[in-house]
Formats: sequence, structure tokens, C-alpha cells
Amino acid sequence: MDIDAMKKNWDALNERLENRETVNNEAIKKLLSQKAIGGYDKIRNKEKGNLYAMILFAIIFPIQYATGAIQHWYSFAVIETLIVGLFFYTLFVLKAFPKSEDYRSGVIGLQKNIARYQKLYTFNAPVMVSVIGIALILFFSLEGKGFQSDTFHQGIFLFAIAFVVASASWGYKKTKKELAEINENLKELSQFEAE
Amino acid sequence: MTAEQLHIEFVKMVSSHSSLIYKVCNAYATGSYEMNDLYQDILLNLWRSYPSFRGESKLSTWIYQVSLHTAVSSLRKETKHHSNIQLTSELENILTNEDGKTGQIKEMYDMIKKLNKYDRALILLWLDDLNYQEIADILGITRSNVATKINRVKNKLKEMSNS
Repeated sequence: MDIDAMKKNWDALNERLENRETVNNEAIKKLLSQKAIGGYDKIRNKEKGNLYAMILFAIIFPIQYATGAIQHWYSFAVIETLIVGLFFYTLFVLKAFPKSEDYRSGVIGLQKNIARYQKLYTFNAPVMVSVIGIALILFFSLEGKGFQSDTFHQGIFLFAIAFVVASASWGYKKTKKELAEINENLKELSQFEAE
Repeated sequence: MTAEQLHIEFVKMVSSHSSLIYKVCNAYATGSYEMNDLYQDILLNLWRSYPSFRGESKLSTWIYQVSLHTAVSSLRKETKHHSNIQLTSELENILTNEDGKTGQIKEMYDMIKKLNKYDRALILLWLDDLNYQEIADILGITRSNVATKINRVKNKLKEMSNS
């Protein structure tokens, strides 16, 4: 099929579409009333949720320290540093999120921004799991509830370590796969621009 | 404008441009489920950006921008299964009319789908008679670049049809 034939077929499709209903108005109203959200909002909402969780933890732990549930100031310092660090990291990730409705740079510019953001976001899960895992292990060890405590707590502690290692390893594999896809997307974009 | 008025205006706007969205969906989605899913994603993105649309560009240009952005965006894979609303029963059947053109339209889409996602966007806009400046504005490339790229895509399609 040559390009002229393609153009004729396109015009034929346009004629066909003129007389057909491709969307049901009631379905649109239902879709909007359900407040369904797309991938963009899901990621942003997840990050916002993380941010609120950090604020909550930042309040809970000082209370725990004040009431004596956390015994040592240095273990309290570890956990508070972790929370504040993760709060700013999440804030940074959220701020870097490109505005999907900003079309000034056109579809190609927006796609580039998204791909760059995705690269950053891909590291989110492994970074979170590793940092939280290491900080918790450190926290429980400093609190004397790690390997130096009774068998029950040692079991929980070992389970926590195994969980962190497994999660970090799963996160690494997932990240590697996602990064390959993002790089492929960026490559396609660069090729389109270069050709 | 009240929320109710905004809803009514939006539905009216989508209805009058539904064929445009359909043409984009058909170039990027495979199968009825994916088609419906992409259609919904485009509607959601249009709805979300609708309040920020200030009429600086033509309505069809803006709808093309949002639709193509949604279709080519890899973030879309996050949205699967968000809703089971069937937007239309006609989506699947539009290309199955029993007239002489059906096979050719399908063949045309098959060729378009062999292109990469950015070339697909370019050829869709060209086929829909948008001028080079409009295509440049939608994609975010220069006008002269559009001309070069369209020629290249045309050559690709020519090679495809010869092979």
C-alpha cells in the first residue's frame, strides 16, 4: 500500500467514524464519577502517602523515647535520622515529578522528562528497603534487642534480616528490568530526534 | 463554572472529538481490552488537564497532545485494570464493516503499527491533515524537522509495502 492509498483509506475511515458513536456519554459520566485515577496520579498519591507516613513516624518515635519505650538516645537518633532523611528523599522524588499536564515542551519533551523521572523513581523501592532495613537492624542492635537478647527476639531479628535481604534482592532485579525498559524508551526517543 | 457545568462541557467536548481519540487508540492498542483501557486513560488525562486548557491552542491540537502523550507514555502500564467501564460497544466493530474498504483500513493500521511509537504519532497527524506547524507544536519538534521526519517515515512505509 503506497502513501496515497493510505491517505485515501484514512479519509474513508474518517467518513466511517462520522456516522458512528465511539464513546458512550453515560460511560464517561460514570468514569468521572468513580474518580478513577491513571498511572500518573497513582505514583504521586503513593509518594504523598509515604510523606504523611514519615510525618506520623516523626511524631510517634519521640513519644516512644519520652515514655521510655526506646531506651537509648543513640538508637532514637538513628531512627529519627532515618525518618527525616526519607522525608526529604520522598519530597525530592515528588518535586522531581514532571507535570503531566504541562505540554509546553510537546509530547516528545514530556516523554523525555517522564523517562528521566522514571529512572529516578526506579531506585525508590530498593533504596527505601535497604535504608530502612539497615537502620532497623542498627536500631534493634543498639537497643539490645538484636543477637544479644533472648531466643525469641533473636528469631524475630534473624527473620527481619532475611526479609530485608530478600526484599533488597527482589528490588534490585525489578529495578534492573525496569531500567532496561526505560533506557530502551530513551534510546527510541533519541533515535527519533536524531534521524 | 460549577463542577456540574464542567462535567457537561467536558462530555460534550469528548463526544465531538471521539473519532480523533479512537484513531489514536487504534494505532497504539492491540485487542478490545487494551483499546478500551487506553481510551479510558486518555479520557482521564483529558479530564485532569481540562481545567488548565486555556484555549491557547486549538482544542483538537490539545486533545491530540494529551492522547498521544497517554498512548506513548510508558507510565500507562501502571494503570491497567483501574476500571471495568465499557466505554462503547462500537469500538471493536468500527473496523469490521462489511464494505470494500474494511480490509484496506485494517491493512493501513497494520502498516502504521509496524512503525515505532513516535513515527506512528507523526504519520497519524500527517494523515489527519494537520499542517507542519501544528505537528511541530504537538510533538515539540521544529517545523523543518517535521518535514524531514515525515519524508523519512513515508520512505519507511514505502519500503514496507515493497517488501
